[in-house]
Amino acid sequence: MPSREEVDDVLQRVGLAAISYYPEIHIDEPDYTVDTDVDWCLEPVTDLTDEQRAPLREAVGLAITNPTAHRYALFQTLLELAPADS
Amino acid sequence: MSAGVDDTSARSNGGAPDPHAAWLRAGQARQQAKRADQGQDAAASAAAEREREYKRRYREEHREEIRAYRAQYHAENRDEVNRKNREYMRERSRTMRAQKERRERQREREHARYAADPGKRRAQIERWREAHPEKNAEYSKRYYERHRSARVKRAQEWRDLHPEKHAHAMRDWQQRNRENLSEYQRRYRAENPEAYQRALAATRERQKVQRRLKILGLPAPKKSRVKARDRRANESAAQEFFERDRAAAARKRIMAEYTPLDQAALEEWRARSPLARRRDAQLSRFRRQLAAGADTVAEIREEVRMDVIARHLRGDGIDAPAELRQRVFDAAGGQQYLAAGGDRHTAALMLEESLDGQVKSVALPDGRGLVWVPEHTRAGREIAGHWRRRPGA
Repeated sequence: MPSREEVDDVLQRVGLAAISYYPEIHIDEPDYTVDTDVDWCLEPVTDLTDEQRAPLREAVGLAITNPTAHRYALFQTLLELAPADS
Repeated sequence: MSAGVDDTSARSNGGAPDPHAAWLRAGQARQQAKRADQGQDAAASAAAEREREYKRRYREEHREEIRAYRAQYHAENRDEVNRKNREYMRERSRTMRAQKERRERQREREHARYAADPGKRRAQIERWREAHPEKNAEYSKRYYERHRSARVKRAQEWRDLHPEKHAHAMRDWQQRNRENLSEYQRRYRAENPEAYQRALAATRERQKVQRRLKILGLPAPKKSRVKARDRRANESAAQEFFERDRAAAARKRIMAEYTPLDQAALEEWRARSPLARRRDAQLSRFRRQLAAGADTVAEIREEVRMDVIARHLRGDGIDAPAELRQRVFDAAGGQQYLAAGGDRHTAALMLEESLDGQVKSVALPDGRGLVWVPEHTRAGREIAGHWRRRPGA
């Protein structure tokens, strides 16, 4: 169960990656994959099972490449993981 | 001037009195008298011309003497000079007032005449327009040029309000001109070769990206088109939100609440992700340029101050802090940073950081509580134009 601080940290990292991302990076840097950034974004949360991690990874990847469409879904996914009292 | 009008003559020939006939006769009489005088005038005017020339030369050659004499006279006859000056000014202001009243009365008369029979005046204007079509066209053109931006803006607002009417009108126009459309396009491309080249280059670039993506096995970029009207609405909403004038205290609070990621995490990201490296290179270039331009900020602020005053005198306002930020941003190559895809909110934060505490000091002479004192001489000292507190404010 991730703490409030960890969730904030993840959100901040996703935000940074999302404003940095641009689609033509795949041409400028042929060996770039979004997975690299997703790994970095999810570093703060450690105690997750694989079932919890998979949808979160997907949501983060989508939010980085198209934040306008997917940031809300990421937020929902994180809320479900976060402790109920925060 | 009614001096030349002889009202009795206007009535003497019977029928209705015609003031225009009186004016006409008076004018003709004056012209006749002038012509009669002209014979003896030729010699007199030559003599007068010679005399004027002599006086002018004398004044020029003895300028210092005359000035000294005048100063001495003023010193010796101060009361007399002052009295005469007062009388002159009094007389002058009375004349001015009388002229103003006369103009006022005339305007009222004109207005009353128009109100009594607007159709007559309109018909008169219509006749003039028919008689002078080229002047009319010229004036219309000038009016349009003077009000062009407002007109264009209004048209755009109308289009945004009535999208389906506008679309309908566009379709109609295209239907009506369908034979000429390709001709219009050819002409536009011939007249704007660089716009055409830009469009071609953009197409080439897009196709190149698509080919690369296809080779890499990636899906084609999905783009959702935003209508110009929606884009304008979004832009203006965003501008209103992001560029609202925050108080200095609020800006400080936002900066204080912002806790940046710890440097170790950022370093790690840069080591891992090529995306982060690219963005970091861009950002640190911009940051370097901002730091290098820090000592020109004072200069830019002075320029902005002068421009604010000049624009105020010309009658339009200018937001001094925003203008200063924009100019510092441009000087640090911010436009190139944005063109390379840099995030503008990050840029704004960095700009704010580099200008910390320097923006507020641009004076905002918006005229509220202040009056502009123009350049003048007081007690022999020249005083430059400046703002001062309005008396009693």
